[in-house]
Amino acid sequence: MDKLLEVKDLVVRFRTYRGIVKALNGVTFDVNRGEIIGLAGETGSGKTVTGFTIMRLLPPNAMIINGSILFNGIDLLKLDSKEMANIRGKKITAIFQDPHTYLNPVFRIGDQFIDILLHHMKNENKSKSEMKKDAWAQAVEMLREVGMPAPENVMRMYPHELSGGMKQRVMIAMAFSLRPELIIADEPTTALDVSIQAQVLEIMKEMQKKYNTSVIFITHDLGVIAEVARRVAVMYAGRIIEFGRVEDVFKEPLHPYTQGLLFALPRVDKDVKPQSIGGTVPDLVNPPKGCAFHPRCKYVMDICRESVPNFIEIGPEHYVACHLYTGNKGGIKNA
Amino acid sequence: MPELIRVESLAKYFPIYSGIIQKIIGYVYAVEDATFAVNKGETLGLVGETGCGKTTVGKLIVKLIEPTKGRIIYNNYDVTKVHGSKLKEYRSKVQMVFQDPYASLNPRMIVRDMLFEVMKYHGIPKPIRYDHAVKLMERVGLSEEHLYRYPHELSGGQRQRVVIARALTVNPEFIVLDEPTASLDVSVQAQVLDLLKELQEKHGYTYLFITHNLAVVRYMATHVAVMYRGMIVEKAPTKILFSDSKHPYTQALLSSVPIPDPTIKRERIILKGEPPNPITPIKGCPFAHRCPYVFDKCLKEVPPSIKVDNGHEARCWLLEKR
Repeated sequence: MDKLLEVKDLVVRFRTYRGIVKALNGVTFDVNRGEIIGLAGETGSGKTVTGFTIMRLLPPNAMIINGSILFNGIDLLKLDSKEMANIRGKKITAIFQDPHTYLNPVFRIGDQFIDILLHHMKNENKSKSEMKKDAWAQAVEMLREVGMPAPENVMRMYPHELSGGMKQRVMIAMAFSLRPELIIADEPTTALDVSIQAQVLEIMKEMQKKYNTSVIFITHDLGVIAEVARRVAVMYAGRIIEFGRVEDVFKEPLHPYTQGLLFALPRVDKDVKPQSIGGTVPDLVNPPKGCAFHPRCKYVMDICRESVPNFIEIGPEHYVACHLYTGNKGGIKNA
Repeated sequence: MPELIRVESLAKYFPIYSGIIQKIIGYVYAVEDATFAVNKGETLGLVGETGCGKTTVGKLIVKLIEPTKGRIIYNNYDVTKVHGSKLKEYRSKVQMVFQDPYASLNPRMIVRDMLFEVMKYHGIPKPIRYDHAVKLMERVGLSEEHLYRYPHELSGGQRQRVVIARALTVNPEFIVLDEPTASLDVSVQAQVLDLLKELQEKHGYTYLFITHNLAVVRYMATHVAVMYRGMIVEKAPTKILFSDSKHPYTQALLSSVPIPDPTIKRERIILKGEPPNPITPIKGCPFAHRCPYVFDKCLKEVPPSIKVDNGHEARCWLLEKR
């Protein structure tokens, strides 16, 4: 499999009135062509910032301090805004959590959809009306593909006339309509009910397979990741602390935080007692020294308080950032 | 265990007004014919998707709104129509915790004053208020210093603890928990669930746990009622509901919850369509148009609650055929 996206050592800071928020502190991962990567983590762990940085959609108070984002070998961080605009939307698109805020309430679905298609359409010596006609047909076809009942009617509707699940389908259809190579899906099913979530996930998987698109699936729901992703990256306090194949990470989580997260989940399929992780997520204005997880970690050692653990490969496609595995002070693997 | 609260064919229709003279043009059928009971010291989980009426049931029980039909019986006493001092007494026994702790706390008050406010209303004498507040904080795993914090100075989990402490101020018997952990991260959710369980074991509280999260219900509840479009479609002891559910909706719901274990491969029931609009009155079973087993009768008559086993009932015509 060839690599489509390589994110290396990404460091992002935000200037706020409270001080500098250290949002990303060295994020490294890669996405292969046609692969779904799950990006998991709790509120404030930096999942969304990672997505926005790849899209180069960060707000003005953000600073990219370090790192590179290689997309097809081109460093996105080195492109000027015009070049980036050509990639954004066409090569990389996004699906967001709340479709309601990303669809314009005063335009019909059809108009918004056609707008996107026309913007990226090549001028093939066609008149404007012909192009519009083509775009309309293409949009209807895409809506049909995502399982929208009566797509022609939906094209004439306003966003408020559609339910949450239907709106999300429109977003998916729009995202796939330009045949992007990478889709960043930020909590696309979080606002939906489980039965609708199941429908939407099914459609996303289908479309992804059909067009062999790579997807970065950002969610806090580990269940969803287990269902859709091939590999998962777990984030904590602006770093990826574990990255590996879904089977490996869920079966044998190495990082104490990943273990904690999995044990904290109540399950529908069996009786378990959720084990809470003590303490709270650190404040990223003043993150703890050393490993950011050390104040909450059961296996904390002296070295954890001093130095940040490196992100090391521990097995095939399995990376972890934890001193338990760096060979320091002996290995208390299952203490 | 003796029964603490029972609701009988409870219904709530919200009128829809229109025009200059505000004529009633229809109703939102939020809750229809809900019947259930909760025993002392037990937890009834009320699950369902957005708009199914589960929060309305909670509000009806704490009497924030008046039911259109039906009765609420608390400790063998009909409280459907109580008001005045009797209502105040009822409210000291029954408390509610809402989903969003930030919205249910006054941003301009420190925690201590919020607790004092409740104590004042319920006539707890001034000299003992402070000690009582400290005890409450300890009970929910916070400390005395948190009494002087404003809501924005607390984390999400701490805020929810404060809301729980406030509900416990009057030492209630029955607590309606409306999505108490929905806005929390998983690691914090586990802490709050633990706290609720611990409080129940120590003080014998009875809970109505309203949530959309089936996994949480499995852990918390002794009995579960599943709601769909204002109706309770199935109720059963938790163990039975998760192992042997009878209603097609419950089965579909259980199969569509993603499980955080990629090795488990399940037969997925993916429902077509979306829940019906609660404004159109229903003919027949509310689930009929999405049900994979639908037949003629489902479209014509509303199925009654059919008993499957002791404590296990489901509203489905399939059960009657046998």
